[in-house]
Amino acid sequence: MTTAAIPPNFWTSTRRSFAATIRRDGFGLLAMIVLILVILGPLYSVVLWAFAERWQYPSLIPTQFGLRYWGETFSRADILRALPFSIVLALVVTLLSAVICLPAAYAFARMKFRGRQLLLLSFLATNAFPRFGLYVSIAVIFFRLNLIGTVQGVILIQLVNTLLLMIWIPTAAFQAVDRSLEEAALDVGASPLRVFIQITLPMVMPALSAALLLTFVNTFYEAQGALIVGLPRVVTMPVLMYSLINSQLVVQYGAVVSFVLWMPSLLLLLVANRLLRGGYLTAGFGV
Amino acid sequence: MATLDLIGLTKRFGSVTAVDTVDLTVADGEFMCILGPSGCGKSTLLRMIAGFEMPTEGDIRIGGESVTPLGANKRPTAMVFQKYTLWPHMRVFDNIAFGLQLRRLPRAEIARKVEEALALVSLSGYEGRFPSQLSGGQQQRVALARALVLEPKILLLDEPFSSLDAILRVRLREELRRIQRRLKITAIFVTHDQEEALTLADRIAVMNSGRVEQLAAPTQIYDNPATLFVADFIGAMNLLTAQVRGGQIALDGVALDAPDGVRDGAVTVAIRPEDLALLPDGDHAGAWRASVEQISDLGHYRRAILETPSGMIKIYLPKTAAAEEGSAVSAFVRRYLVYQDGAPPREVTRPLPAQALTV
Amino acid sequence: MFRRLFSNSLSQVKTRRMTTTQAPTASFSRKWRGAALAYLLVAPPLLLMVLLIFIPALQSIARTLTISVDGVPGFSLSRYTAFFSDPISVNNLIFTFQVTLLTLAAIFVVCFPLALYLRFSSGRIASIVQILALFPLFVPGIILCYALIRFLGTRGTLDTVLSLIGITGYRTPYLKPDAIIIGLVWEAIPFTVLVLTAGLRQVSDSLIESARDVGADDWTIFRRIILPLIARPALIAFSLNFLGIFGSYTIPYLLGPAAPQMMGVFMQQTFGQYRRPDEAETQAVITFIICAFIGFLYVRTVARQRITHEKDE
Repeated sequence: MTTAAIPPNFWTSTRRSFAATIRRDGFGLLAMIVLILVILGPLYSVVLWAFAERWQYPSLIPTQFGLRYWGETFSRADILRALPFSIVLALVVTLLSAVICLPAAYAFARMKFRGRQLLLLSFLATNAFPRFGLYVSIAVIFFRLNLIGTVQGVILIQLVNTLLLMIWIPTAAFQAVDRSLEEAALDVGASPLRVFIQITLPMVMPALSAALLLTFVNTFYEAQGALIVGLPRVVTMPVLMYSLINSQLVVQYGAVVSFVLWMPSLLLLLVANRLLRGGYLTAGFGV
Repeated sequence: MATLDLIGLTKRFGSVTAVDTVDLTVADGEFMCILGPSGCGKSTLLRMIAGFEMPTEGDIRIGGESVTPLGANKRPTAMVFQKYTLWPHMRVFDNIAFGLQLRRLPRAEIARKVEEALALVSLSGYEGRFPSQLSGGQQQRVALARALVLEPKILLLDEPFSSLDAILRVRLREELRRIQRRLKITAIFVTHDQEEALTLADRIAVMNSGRVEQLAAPTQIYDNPATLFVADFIGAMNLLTAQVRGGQIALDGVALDAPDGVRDGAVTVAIRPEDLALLPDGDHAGAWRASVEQISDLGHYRRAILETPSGMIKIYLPKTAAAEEGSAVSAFVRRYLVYQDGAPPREVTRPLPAQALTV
Repeated sequence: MFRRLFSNSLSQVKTRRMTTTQAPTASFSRKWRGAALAYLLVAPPLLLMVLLIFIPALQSIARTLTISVDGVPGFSLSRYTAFFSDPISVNNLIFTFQVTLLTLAAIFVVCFPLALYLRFSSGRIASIVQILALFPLFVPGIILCYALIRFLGTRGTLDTVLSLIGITGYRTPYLKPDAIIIGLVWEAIPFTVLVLTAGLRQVSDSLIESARDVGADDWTIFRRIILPLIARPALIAFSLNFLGIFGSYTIPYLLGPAAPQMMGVFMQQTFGQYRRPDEAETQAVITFIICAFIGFLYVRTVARQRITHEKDE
């Protein structure tokens, strides 16, 4: 699914067989053109706006390129405060989620107890509510507990979002490790703890890192829970984006911030192929 | 290198008894095969010896000392598993060295031992490969090296070649036998493949429903199967039920002498296909009149199926035997075993009449 | 011969059962201790979920159904009658429904052909189409909104392109319901395509070929073989998209009109701006009730999918 799948002579051979391709794959070609316009078009605008100093209508590209607004954007006090805060927050939430969920995932995968399947499925509940309604319910409780506008409150509400992914992906990974590989290690004299550290853990590592990465990125972009619980005192970067978009005084601020905010997602894009093959991308939806 | 004693070993899973009071002694340096159909408890028995399963009852002694309370990681046994169980994230070297590293051996010694172990399984130079870069046969050789490098007292093998193709299986079997002889290591080999057991073992323990049905050398198991189960399970066998009356076994179309000690009543007669001979069509004592139903050429011998009054009978013929499908013949029984009431079988051999078509 | 075959397969069944029920290794107390440890390990995330999902939801439902008269709580539907007698609230609810259903229809119109195409074709164009269809997965919602504003807005990129090729009088969907639908569909494409293609991949080529072999035409194959086999994935895609759209906030807030509002925007306004948590809670519970059936459908479908899966293995 990545560009790696495209042969090196792709563009030349495409040109040669263009007519043949249309006849054979008319739908595909149409879909491709429409998707390029619809999917890449909006992103094209953002990226160019981020590097534009002036862009007068009706020009297809900026009238004047430049990095002036980068300096301006990153001298704004609110952005300088929110960006590092958001990164630290996402890291903390990811770490907490790992501490809470990974032992549970191990238990779900490897231990026998009554209600195992049912309890594992119960985490689907995190997806089974209309999200914003649920946030309001939580916020009403937080309101009474004085958690509105606190970092703790934001951490808690964001943790809810991470549960399904952080339990289901590692559970599947632990289940996939062949028991006889662990037995073979026991057999040559390794203690159970050592077997876990040196045999089991390395084999589930790809799945665990996928879970951690997806959780980090999802949390970093989580805006709705942080908005309803965090405001007015706790402002994450995505929440700040709302006001940057709404005020719209300077188009470039939003574009530059979007561009920067998009970086963690690019990280995902780089490992997309592996995520897709491991089936991790849909795991967060419980599929 | 030690003896192994299993004393009254029993394993129950809930209400299912997988292994039922097995007593077994394996001598020092002996190659013992445990043979049986799937589900007979042979793998469970092996896993108890390795320490992966705790016995419900009984004791396991290695070199005379009980190891029953020890976990798998504390036992002087090493196992080669059925599936490829090389750790995928470690190179061949580390796969073999892992157990040695746990024992905190000096680095140089580890390197030397790994090299020796790889040479033993003819894989010198493969240290740097990952398991995924090896063929199935090579992976199982590395697994064998990994087990041997620890110089275990007992080597355990759980159908190690069953996922390999036929040619490779035979080659690895021979190699394993050579290595075992050279190291004089006590080995227990679990398999459901009788050919494997017959070629490899010093002694075979045939298991059925959690019990050892017969424990003997391969030739004896083949020639004198102790029970009907073993008779049916090992090799090809014609099994016929009949009644004994007045010292004669009355089969349909033929009467055979009942050996001494067989009373009147029901018996089962077991005849190996190679213990039958063809005679020209006609009435002969102790022979069926039969017609040749089917002939298959199997290279070095021919297999025929005869239709007799007692039913279909399988017979092996030399390549040169002149017989055609549809032709009428007589089938003479040269040797047979008689089973009655679970007692050991009684053997009868008879001289071949002069008119024999075969040999 | 037959007898042996038969007894072999019988004993195989026995072993399989033995290995799957797995060693009740030793004494009862040891088994009990193992289970206790397992419960201890799964307790923290379960507790978190109970505290942050079940209790808030149940409390909200309970509170919206009670009213205290002179300090004595009693059952009352007054909060709901208030909601349903307020034309703005009712309007917002109807609007949310309309947007949800229209968006769902649009999602399936777009994604079903894409998924079918991706399943049954290979080659360069198909792989590019797949990359493009999955790309929105890597664009967070808030950036998407900003991008769509710049793309669809007055004097945005689309406007520019159209005017360059001589089409004037572009009317932007921005701040209209259309923009909400466009944004929500954009966001839902990757997930829906992924789930539908995964479902379609379970329909093996040989299955289709054998149907063709017995004389089925394309339409019959589609209706009798493909459709029943992807019913479950389609149901998952439908229910999860429904829930996602009904509970959405960012896209309708940033791209949609000031009135009518979708429920998410409405709730946030009631809670955050007007500081009326009680009313916001009522609105939330109404979305719960409407989505309860869909949520149940989603959980049940995924559960069944997983259980069949485990059985296969």
